[in-house]
Amino acid sequence: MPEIAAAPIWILLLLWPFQGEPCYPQIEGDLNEEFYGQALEHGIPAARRWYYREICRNLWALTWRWTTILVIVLPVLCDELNKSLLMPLTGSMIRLLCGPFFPSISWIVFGLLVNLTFVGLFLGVICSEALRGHERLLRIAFAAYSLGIATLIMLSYEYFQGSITIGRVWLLCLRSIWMPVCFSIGSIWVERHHRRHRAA
Amino acid sequence: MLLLAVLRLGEQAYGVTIRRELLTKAKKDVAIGAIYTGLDRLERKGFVESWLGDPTAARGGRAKRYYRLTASGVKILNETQHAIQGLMVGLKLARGNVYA
Repeated sequence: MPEIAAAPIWILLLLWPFQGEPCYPQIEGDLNEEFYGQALEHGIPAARRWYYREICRNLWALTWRWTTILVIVLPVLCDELNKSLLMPLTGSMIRLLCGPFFPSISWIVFGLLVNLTFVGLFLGVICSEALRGHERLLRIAFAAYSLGIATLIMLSYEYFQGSITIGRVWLLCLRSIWMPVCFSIGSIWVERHHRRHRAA
Repeated sequence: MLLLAVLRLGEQAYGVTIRRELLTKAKKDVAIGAIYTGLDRLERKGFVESWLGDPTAARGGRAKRYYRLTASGVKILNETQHAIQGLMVGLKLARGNVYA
């Protein structure tokens, strides 16, 4: 095999969210093999142009699949489920357990943390079980959605209501960072569990 | 078309060769990602089966995944061919226009 320059790997970062997909190693290998053939036939600059174009086409092809669309839509559904069912449920449970001590601010923060932790872990495990092989993309979509929604809420308060209280900022930060962290822990746990199961 | 390409290539059907076959024989320039999406679906339906080859330096150390048709894949291909032939009877196609 004649020695030629390797394919430009930095552009592969565009396909990074899809690295957990079962077909990803084959796609990368096929692109490398075709780059090698193109470089021998048309020269390295033409092969690089071909490679950039193919990465973009593959990004498009991998995004417009029902699984990817579902992975992107799922955080919205999880958020709605959390707001309408899980959050009031855990809130009532904490209120029941804490009784007369509940109104203190530390208990409210504690209650919120417990709620976000359990709901995040629960949703992470359930969603990753439902969409096996797409865990990485799921985690990215969930984190991006949580952070995006929190930013939009803060901006809407700032522009339409004049200002936002520091307490609300803390609550939004807590919710938009801690919940994706717990979601990721649940999702990684499921991913590792399946990997171990496959290896065994 | 994917099933036909896999059948034509025999034991040499993997991403690059399937893509080239579709490009040269069917004039369809399909992205590798789209080919694997289709092949995954066909494998889930039991029409094709796959196995991993050896990794090579030209592929950056990544292994090839070869595909071949299963018995139900060949059966569905035959059924589709018969269905198309049946529907074509009595039709004359000329430059994209249909004359019954």
